Amino acid sequence: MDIDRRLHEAGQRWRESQEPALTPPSAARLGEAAPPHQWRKGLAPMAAAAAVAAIIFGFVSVHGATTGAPQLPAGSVTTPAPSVSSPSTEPSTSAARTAAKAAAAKEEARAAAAAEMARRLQLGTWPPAADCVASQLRPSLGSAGAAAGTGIVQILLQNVSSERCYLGGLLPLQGVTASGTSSRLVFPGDSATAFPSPVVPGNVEPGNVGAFWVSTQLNGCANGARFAQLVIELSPKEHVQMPWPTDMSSGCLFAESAAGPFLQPIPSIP
Amino acid sequence: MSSTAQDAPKRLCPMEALSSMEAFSVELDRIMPVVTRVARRFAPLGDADDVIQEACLAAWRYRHRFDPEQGSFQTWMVRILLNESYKTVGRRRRNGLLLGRLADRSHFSAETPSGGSDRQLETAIAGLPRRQREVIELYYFVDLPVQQVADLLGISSGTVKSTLADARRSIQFRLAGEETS
Repeated sequence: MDIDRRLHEAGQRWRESQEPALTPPSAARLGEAAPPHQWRKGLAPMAAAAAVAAIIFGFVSVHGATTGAPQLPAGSVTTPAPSVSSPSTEPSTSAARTAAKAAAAKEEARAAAAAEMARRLQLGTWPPAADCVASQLRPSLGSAGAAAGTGIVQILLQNVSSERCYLGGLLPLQGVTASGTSSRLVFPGDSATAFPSPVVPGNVEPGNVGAFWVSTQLNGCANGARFAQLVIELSPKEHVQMPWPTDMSSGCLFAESAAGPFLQPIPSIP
Repeated sequence: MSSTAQDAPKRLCPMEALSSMEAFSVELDRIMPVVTRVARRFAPLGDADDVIQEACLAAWRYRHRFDPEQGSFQTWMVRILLNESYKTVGRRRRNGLLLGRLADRSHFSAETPSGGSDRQLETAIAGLPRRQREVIELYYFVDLPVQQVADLLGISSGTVKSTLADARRSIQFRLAGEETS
C-alpha cells in the first residue's frame, strides 16, 4: 500500500481516537504572579499521580537495590563512591563519611537501575515479536501499595513459553463472580495522566514478565468492586484469568496502565 | 484536514490582542486543538498537560516578543510548545525516566483495513531522525499544511516536502525489513 496514504489514514485514526483538546488556563490565572501549579486542573489528580509514582518508583528502587549487580548494563563498570579525605579521625566524622558513602552508593545503584530499565525497555521494543497469546502468559499478583488516598495493584504476566512475544497497550479487564457472571471493568481515570508511564510496549522474553497497574481511589468509596476472578483480555479471542486481587476491592477502580515488559527477575517487595 | 488547522495561518494575531489576559486566553482557546495534538505527539507520555501549561506560561511571559510579521500566533505558540516538549524529554532522559513514547499508542488497532499495523508504523516513525520525525508528526498526525510546518521549523516548504519524501522512504524501508524478518 502507498505509504503516504497509510500515514494519512494512521494520522486520521489517531486524531479521531484523541480526547477533546485540553482547556487553556483561564484569564484570571494567567497573571505572572500565579505559579504554574495553580493552573493544573486540580490538585487531587496530581496528588494521586504523585502517589502512584512514589509507589511505583519506590518499588522499582527497592527492587534495584535488592537485585544489585544484575541491574547494571552488560559491560558497565561500577566505580566506588569518591572517598572524602579529611584530617579529622573522630568517630562522628567517620560515621558521617560512611553514611555519605552509603548514600552515594545507593543513589548510584538507583540511577543505574533506572538507566538499565530504560535501556532494556527501549531495546525490547524493536523489532516487535508476535503478540502474546493466552497460552504464553501466566498472570499473577505483583505488588500492592497505597498512599495519599490512592491504592495501586500490580499485575504480572510471565511469559512461560519458549518464544518472545509482544505485550503492549491497555488490556481490557473483566471481573467474574463466583456464579460466573462477568462484568467489564470500567476505569474513569485517564491512564495517560494517572500513571508515570513506567511501562512501554515491548517484547517479553521467555521466562520474563510483563506488567500493568491498576489504581484505586480509597477516599469516598464505600464499596469497591468484588469478584472471584479477574479476566485479562489480550485480544478479543485471547484472555487469561487469575484470582481477583483483594487489593482491587479496597477502593473504587480509577485507572489502568498500559502493559509492557518489566524488569527481571520477578520483582517483589520484601 | 481539519478546518482549525487550515484556518489558523490566515488569522494573524495582532500584538494588541495579546495585551490583555482575556484576549490572550481567547487566542489560546482558538488554537488549543492544534496545541493539544502537538503536545500529545511530542511530549513524553503523561506530560502533555504540564508541557502545555509551561508553554502557555512562557508565551504569556514573553508575549512582547511575538511578532505577527514573522508568522501566526499559532506558529509562535507551537514553536514554544516544541521547545518545552524537548526540554521535558531532556529532563526525563537525564533522570533516567524517559521510558519511551510508544505507550500512548495503545488505541491503535493491531491490524488496519489496509493491512499492516499502526503499531509497526509508529515504531518505524519513532526510529526516524529527529527532523524527519518532526515533519511526519506535524504533517500527518497534527495535520498541519506543508507551509505551516515549514514556518514552524524555520525551513522552506520545498525542504519540508523533500524531508517528507525521505522519511516516507525510510519508513517504507523499515516496514519492509520487518515483514521479511
